[in-house]
Amino acid sequence: MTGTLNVGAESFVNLGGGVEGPMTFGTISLASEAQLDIQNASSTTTMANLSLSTY
Amino acid sequence: MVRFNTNGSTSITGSLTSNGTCDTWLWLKSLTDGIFEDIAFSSPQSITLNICQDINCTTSNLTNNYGVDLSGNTGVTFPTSRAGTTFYWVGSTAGNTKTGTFSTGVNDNWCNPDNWSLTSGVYSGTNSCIPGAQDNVVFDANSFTAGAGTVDLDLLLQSCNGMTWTGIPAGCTMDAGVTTNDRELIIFGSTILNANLDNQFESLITFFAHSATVRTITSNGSNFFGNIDFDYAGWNWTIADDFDMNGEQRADVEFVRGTVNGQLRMIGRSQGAHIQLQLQQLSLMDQRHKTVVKR
Repeated sequence: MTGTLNVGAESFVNLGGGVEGPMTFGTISLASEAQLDIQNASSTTTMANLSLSTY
Repeated sequence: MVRFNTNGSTSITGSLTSNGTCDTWLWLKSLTDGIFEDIAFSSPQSITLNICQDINCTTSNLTNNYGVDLSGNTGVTFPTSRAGTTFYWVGSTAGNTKTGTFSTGVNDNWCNPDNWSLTSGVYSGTNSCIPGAQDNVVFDANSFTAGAGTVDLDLLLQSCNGMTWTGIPAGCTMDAGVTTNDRELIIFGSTILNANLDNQFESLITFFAHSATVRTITSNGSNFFGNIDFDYAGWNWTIADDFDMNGEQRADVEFVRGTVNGQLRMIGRSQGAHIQLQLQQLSLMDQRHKTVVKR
């Protein structure tokens, strides 16, 4: 996945859902109180940038 | 919060930007508590005021300034690591106008620095921080000198080390002003409730751990209202007295990992049921007129 994945305030995102498979992302950006779970079994996850924000 | 994959590995080729504040903690942890996750950075990264748990930085180039080394971290540097302290609730202390420098408004919210103090009963109007996972929280007689009050757990995730309610007047409530059930309170230490506390927190309370110390949960005649998880492999909790779940259909208990010694009494559901627990993994769900125990 290229581009930016924006996770809005108080939102929850699960990447992988427990299923095997490598994942590649551009930028992942989390707003205030957002939660990101990375759950792709034993696979590798690669991302260019990761950002967590307080607002 | 980011929970990194425990079984696989994560690689960040560019930058990690994660700068929290002491009234808005940011979390980096593994997906499975107590089991570290591997993360690698292509270049050195510097973050501020993050709570880290079970992070294994395989490239040893992550710096968490003023951060919290909760447990299980390797390859992470913690300059000026933030040690735990004790926060006292002053949300209902006489003289608290809730118009202090860092106030978020006239409310009873956990997230409001004006409701907390580092000294029992002393409202300064200048407190800027709220408790993090490393801090103890105390609700005592000095917390309610203006009369019985409520404490609203308004954040999606709030946490503390030990939680103590002592000497409070009758009529105090927890979460009376909030009705959503999508929030979580994580307690890493021991818990002491009080008979004068009406606990109406209907979301999830998770009992975690970050050291081998046995945690004690003492209800003192109070109750739990929402869901309860015990979740940390290898650690122990002792339930010192009746552990009452009084939340109708909301009150489920899940023993995900760890060992729990004690008894639970399901008031209003399975009246008087006492369950002795000595387990490594168990799931218990109290449904209408029956109790299901699975291990």
